[in-house]
Amino acid sequence: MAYELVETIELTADAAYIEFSSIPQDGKDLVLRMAVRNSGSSGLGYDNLRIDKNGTTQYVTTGPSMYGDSTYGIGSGNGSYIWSNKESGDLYAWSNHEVYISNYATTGHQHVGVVGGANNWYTDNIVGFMTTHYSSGSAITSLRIRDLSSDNIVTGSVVSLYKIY
Amino acid sequence: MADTPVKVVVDLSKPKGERESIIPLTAEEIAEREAMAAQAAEEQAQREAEEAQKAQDKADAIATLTSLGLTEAQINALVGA
Repeated sequence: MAYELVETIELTADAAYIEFSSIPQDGKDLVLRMAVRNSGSSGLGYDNLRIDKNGTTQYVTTGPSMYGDSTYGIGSGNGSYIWSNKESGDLYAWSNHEVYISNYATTGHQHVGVVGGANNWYTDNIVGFMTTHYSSGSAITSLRIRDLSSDNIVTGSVVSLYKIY
Repeated sequence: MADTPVKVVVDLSKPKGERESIIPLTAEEIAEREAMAAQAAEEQAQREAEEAQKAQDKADAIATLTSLGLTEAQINALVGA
């Protein structure tokens, strides 16, 4: 089993989406590692993120999950459990996640495991994990990361894509 | 007028160093983004309402148990506080 860095992107300007396209199909699994923050300034201290498969038709958003939230306490259920800190909450904090996608180059459904959290100094903190899947029908050729609240992913956010053989 | 939002596309078919492009969102992408944000706001409001109801139910339960004569320690043992 080999673990190969495909690409790392560090934003030099705020962006609505970060998209990896033409993902090489010669691996078995994919791993995304993210340290991101968003431009939001109101409401909770974090936003939810989505990771779209091959455009907009499928996305990771819900699945069996557990979380601990400094505002709501411990919970579980189906929900969107990838987060990004609002930069207004703490200029030094980045939310961190690892997203593991199995069998991405096959046309069967691809299982996804997410672990991570959003910690910031002034407002809500949250940590959790989720398991879900993309529906079958196509291999994953692109992944698009976006903020659900129409905030931008801000400068300095880093996303790395790894391929596992 | 606000700047048009952009996306960063990393085309992995290209050589390293030539992969990153910054592209303005199309009108369709902007509309889709706004629709998804509205849906997310609704889901967040629903979640907050559910959490508030759970907190109220818990407070009501503790008050009822107190009125039945349970101590604070006994109640905490039951509700996991």
